[in-house]
Amino acid sequence: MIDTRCFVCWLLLFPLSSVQRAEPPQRIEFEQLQSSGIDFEHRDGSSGRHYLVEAIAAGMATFDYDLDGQVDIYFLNGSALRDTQYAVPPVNELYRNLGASKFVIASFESGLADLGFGLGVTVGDYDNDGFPDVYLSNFGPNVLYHNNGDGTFSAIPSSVLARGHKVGGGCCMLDIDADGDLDIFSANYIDFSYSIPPTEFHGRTNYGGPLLYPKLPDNLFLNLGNGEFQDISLDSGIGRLAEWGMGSICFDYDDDGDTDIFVANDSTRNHLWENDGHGKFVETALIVGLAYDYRGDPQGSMGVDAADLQNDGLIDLFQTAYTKQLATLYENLGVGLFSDSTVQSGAGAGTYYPVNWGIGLADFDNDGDKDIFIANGHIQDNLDDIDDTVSYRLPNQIIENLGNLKFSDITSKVGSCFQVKESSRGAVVEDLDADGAVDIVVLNSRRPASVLRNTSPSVSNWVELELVGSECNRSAVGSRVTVVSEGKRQTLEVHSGRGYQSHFGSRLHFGIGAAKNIDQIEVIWHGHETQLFRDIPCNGIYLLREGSDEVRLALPIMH
Amino acid sequence: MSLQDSDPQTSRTQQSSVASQSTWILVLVLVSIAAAGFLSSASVFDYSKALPTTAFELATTPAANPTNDRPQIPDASVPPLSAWLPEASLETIEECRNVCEHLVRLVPDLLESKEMLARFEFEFGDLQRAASLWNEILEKNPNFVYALRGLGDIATLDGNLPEAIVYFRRALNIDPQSLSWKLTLGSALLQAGQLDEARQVLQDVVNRSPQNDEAHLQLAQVLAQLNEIDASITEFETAIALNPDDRAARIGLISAYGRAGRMDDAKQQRENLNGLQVTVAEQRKTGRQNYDDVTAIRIDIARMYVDVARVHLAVGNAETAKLLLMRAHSMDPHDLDSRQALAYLAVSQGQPHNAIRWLLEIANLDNQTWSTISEIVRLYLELGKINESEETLIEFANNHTDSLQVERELVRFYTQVKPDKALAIDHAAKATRLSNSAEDFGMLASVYENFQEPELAIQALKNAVELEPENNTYRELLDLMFRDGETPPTLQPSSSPSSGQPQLQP
Repeated sequence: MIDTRCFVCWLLLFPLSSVQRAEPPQRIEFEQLQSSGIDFEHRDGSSGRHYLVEAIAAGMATFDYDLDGQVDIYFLNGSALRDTQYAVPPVNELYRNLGASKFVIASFESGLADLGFGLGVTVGDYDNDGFPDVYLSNFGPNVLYHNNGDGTFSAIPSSVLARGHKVGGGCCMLDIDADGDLDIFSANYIDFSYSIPPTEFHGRTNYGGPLLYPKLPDNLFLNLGNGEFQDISLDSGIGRLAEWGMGSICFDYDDDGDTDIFVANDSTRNHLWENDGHGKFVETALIVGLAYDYRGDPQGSMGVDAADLQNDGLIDLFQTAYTKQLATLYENLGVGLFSDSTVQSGAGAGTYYPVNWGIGLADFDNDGDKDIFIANGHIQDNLDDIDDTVSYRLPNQIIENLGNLKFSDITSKVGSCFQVKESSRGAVVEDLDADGAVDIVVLNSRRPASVLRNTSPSVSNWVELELVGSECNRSAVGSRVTVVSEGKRQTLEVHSGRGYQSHFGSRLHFGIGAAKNIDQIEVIWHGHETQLFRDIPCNGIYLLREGSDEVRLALPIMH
Repeated sequence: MSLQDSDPQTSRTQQSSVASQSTWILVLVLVSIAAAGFLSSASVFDYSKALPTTAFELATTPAANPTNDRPQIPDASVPPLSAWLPEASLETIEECRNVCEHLVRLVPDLLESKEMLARFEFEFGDLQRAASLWNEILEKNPNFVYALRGLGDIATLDGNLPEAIVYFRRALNIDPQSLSWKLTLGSALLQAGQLDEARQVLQDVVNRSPQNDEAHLQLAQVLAQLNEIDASITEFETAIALNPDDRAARIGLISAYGRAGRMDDAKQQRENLNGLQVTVAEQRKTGRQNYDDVTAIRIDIARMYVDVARVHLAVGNAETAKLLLMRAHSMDPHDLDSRQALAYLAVSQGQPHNAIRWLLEIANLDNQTWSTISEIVRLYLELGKINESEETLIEFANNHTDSLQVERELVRFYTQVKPDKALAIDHAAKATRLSNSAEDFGMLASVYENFQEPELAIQALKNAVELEPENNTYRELLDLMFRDGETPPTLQPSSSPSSGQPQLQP
């Protein structure tokens, strides 16, 4: 029960945008991409009965499925729920990138037109054959799609991976034991039942929260190396705790060389599963400082992304949250501990009212630090009738990194496309047109997707890197790259699965400002050696192979 | 200064129902005081002091408030409120709007009536209208602190913390001694990232109210944000010592221990938190079974009705107040405020039977509170129902075997109301075991003396002297009792358990 008289409590939940700072120069601009060929419109299976699963859909992915060097786009879609009928069933849609900001639909030809109720997605080359595969976390059976290498995918029949009739959340591929193949982590949201009625609010039917439903432990599947997987959820420790899992990301939080798992849990504490390096996990979020915000409050955690926001070599976390909570910046303190630095940094500016979903950390102005994109919306589709403080459809946000752990909400200055209101969910940040500027694609609930082209003045330089493992997993997931230019170091890790139940950023993007050359690139291949590459020209997309000194331009990429 | 501020020990939980409350808290305090002296022929329970204008009077400055000449005469042309109250309806919000608008129509010039409507709009309706109403109030009385707080709350909801801070500063300027305003301001400064000033403000609250767990918690959070980890640990630990159920403080402390490199302490604290979480999870589980959004609204509106009833009482509209309190009572089966108010009304209207009914409901909901029981006992005695009062006392004593207060009252009961030597001595002896205080040995002495056991009385007094050698009263009594041939003065149990000393009776 909310005590509406508890004004102290009210106050404690509010935005933190008043950190005094100089006005940043206007350098980030976006425009809505027109006539791109992308006509995806999300369907959530709704019938007006407000089944919660409708409201939380869905994530999306960007990856180069056909290895033509162009990053393609894959949208998850819903499907008919009880009391809903579609003349043409919705399917997940794959758009092949033709270059020059043109796309063509390739869902059925590719075999990725999945009919399930899509919620989460991740991408990685689980069988190390050189072609990225796709794992779907659905409401209903999950599916692993194998990339056949000829532009088509085949669903892998696996009762282990399907995991029954759950409402899935974010999913990731990671190599839990550094044996060179990718295992799969899959978060679970709720044990859904049509028999649990929605809630009533102000006399209207609304989506009930997750706490109405039983929570579920997450799943971890061990890649046996022969195309088969084993459910090791309980043995690994992951399955011993249950919360309402949503977005997830795998990264090496404590710099000990193995990959750990962070799960953004809705309305409760987050999980951080610390890997012992051999695939056994212990939950440590509370002590590490990632379970709750700095006030000790659990958040309606939604999406999460990880990047080195201070260029100190430490991977920080940024997590989106429910309405009347701040999206939270967890600063990596460097000793296996994090601190909620949202207050001091201003990174939560403007995030208090909206429900934040998609999150992407990327250097939109190539000035050498990672900025923040947040996709906003609300779950309640009749909200505008009953609450004048927040809407179902809301603008998305750009928060610029000013350096020294200071941020500024510059949404109002980055273009009219950021005044468009949608109820956004999953989002990706990716350089779709290979021009060195990171673009944005957003999945909007029940509406056409938004494709936002980065049109920022190109005063700064950049480099993009695609990694191919040989000893480590082929997708190089878990590998860490540090780029040094003019003495400035920037670090990124290769992730499979991030944001709001989405996947993006397999191609690492670094803005390097005015620097003309990359002095050095250091790659710590996951579980293996460190490799150095020197004197790389800027403004190129390069392919780095584990064990090879050759640095190849990666357009087109031919593995 | 508000009543809330008068008690610097106010905990966070208590603060959660700030405004509604001061009146009924006062009632409780008075009930407690009255209970202590229930055996006297006239109750010290002064209900007139509980007139529910108090909170508003304290919220405003008389010089600037033209409405303080209360009570206003209600507009007789306005139909009775019952015309708007549906017997059974889920449209409670609309009902509440009618209740608040009825109040404004009834006493349009009373700022408190507009405050009620503004509060309704803020919590259930239109924020812009709430802001408009509060601005209207401030035009008539720039020092109406509830309006300042309301506008501050709206500013924070709009994400405009600098403006909110301005409102909260104004409120604090009106009542500079108010710790609650200071705490509110400190919170806003913390949220705004103005950490240095937040520390200053919250440190002052902590200094002046060292038992305020919320202030310690917030100061700890500020210090943690400022990376002053050792100092934050101290504050987190204090907050937990004051409120062991404070999850936020425990979580903050775990993180702070970690940052201080005290991993073993962090792990131990995590175990403590896990234990607490199990309890919370159980409560949440039960809560989910008994709770939905409609219930939540009814509970919130029940609270609002208690406040509106308070305004009606202030303007002499007791029957409407009673109607609203009954409605609140039915809307929230667990609400104490409405039941306390109904008990107060029943007493003020000379209906002790009804008062007992409400107090018994309160006792069933909250059987830990001694003051409720003592008031029930007092009312029973007023009605001559000695057996019922005895049963009430015994039941409470059986359920609260470590309650010193009930033992003391039983001593008085068996000494003066229904004399029983064995029971009086038994309970007086138990009181001494519970407190081991000179006060209770003094009381035991008085019981012995009352029942003609001078040697035992002397022994008890010796114990009292031993415990408080500097207390001359016990020593003088003892000296008197030792004098041969001289009748010792009569020792009577104290009329107030807090007075601490037996009284000499001529």
